[in-house]
Amino acid sequence: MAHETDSVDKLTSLYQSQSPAAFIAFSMEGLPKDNEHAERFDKGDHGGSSKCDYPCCNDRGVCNSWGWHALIIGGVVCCCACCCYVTNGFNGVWTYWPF
Amino acid sequence: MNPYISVVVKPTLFCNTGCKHCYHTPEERVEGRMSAATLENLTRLVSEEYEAAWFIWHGGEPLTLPMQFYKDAMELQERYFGKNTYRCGNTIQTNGLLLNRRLMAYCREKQINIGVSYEGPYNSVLREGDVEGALSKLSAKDNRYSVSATISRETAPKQAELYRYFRDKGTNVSFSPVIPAGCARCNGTVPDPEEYIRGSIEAFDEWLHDRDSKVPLVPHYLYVLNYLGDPTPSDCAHTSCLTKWICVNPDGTIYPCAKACPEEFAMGNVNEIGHLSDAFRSEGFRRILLGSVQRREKCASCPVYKFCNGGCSMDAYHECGLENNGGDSCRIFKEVFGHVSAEIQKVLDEKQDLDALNPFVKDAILGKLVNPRTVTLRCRWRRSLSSRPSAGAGIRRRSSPGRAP
Repeated sequence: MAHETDSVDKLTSLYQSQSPAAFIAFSMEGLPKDNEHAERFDKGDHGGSSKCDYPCCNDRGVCNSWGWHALIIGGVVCCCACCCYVTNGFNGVWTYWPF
Repeated sequence: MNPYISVVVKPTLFCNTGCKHCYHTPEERVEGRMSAATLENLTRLVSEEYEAAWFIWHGGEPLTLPMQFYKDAMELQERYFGKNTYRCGNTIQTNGLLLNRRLMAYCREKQINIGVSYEGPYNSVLREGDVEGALSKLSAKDNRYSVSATISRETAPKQAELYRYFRDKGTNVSFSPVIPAGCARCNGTVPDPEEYIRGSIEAFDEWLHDRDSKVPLVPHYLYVLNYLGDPTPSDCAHTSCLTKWICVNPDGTIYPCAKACPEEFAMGNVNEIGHLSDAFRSEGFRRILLGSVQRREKCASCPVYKFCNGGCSMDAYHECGLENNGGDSCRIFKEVFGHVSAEIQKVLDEKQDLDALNPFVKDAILGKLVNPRTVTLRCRWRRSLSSRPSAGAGIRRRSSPGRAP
């Protein structure tokens, strides 16, 4: 019979060569060093907040003019008044709510 | 350092039951356990030469040993492999009769897998004891284990029914036939190969088209991955296991396989060798290598060889001799794998609706469609095997236009 006198090392090599795919060592190589995966998709000079695209905001993300400021403040006051009205003085917190 | 080894540890050959198909005869299943020194030597030897290891605690019945044995084993692993290094893992393969909540909680904490050898409604065909009762005492939280079902002559035609049973319980299940060794050598439990093939194909067909299945059916799922060229190790029988698996008996004797491995292939003793690599240079290992190499030379022209790698040496040894192929296990693999690969190829060729398949097969095929090279290679093999002109052509043309046919 063939291989009867072969050494164990030779037989091991022969065995492994008979099914090379079963002896492939898989390893995680990691990402290529020059990859761009860690870069921001909106890279550029900014202070943390992304740029607001609405016309009411300026580049710093705050109101564009005093008119917009007044509109925001007026909106908040109006909202509070409506809530107060609907809840009848915030459910009794404002004891002398007249309306 | 070598990359990886699977170590089947038999800490005792004693068993609390007497299965009809056990590899070990009643004379071998005597009381006696692995000593602390042997356990430490084994852990040290493995850790010195291998980056990673998987310990499979087998037997006999491994849970006849006190829980402290496994606590000691885990401490040794932490000492030699390092704590939380994930260099080693563990599975306890049990008959399930001695499982309890305390042990399950410990296994959960230490991330030890539990494999239960049982056959659901047909458990009494091969085994003794009320494993169903033992499992029912576990809480839903504890109920995390996979099942190895051994298919006998009686259950060979009932594999689809067994699949449905474990699918409904949400338990991962693997099927393997009784092999003609140990107690099963002549007691009529070895399944008829034709019936086994029919039952196995029937179970696969049901699993393949079971869209709601949440369990991978093994070995069929591994066959699917194997056919698609996934670099996933196949089941131990078809993965060229020599040099990658060892089995250690309670006295420290090393064998190349846990499956009824005879004395002539013994590779030394962990208490007597200086390095684990010495075991792979022993005369016993040379003997099993020699027979396996000779068998695989005869297999080389077989179209299935690249998928089975010559099959299991121990199956061959017990069927028709180590250096001979063509036994029942060879026939079963050819038929079942042939059916599995033909079905998968049909899905690829006919561009079938993948949503009609079970999610495991669907994911495997989708994964390979984005990596068409391996599909192309396998398609070529399939064409030569079945002489079907359309096999794989659509996939190759669409996915890798510049590749030579």
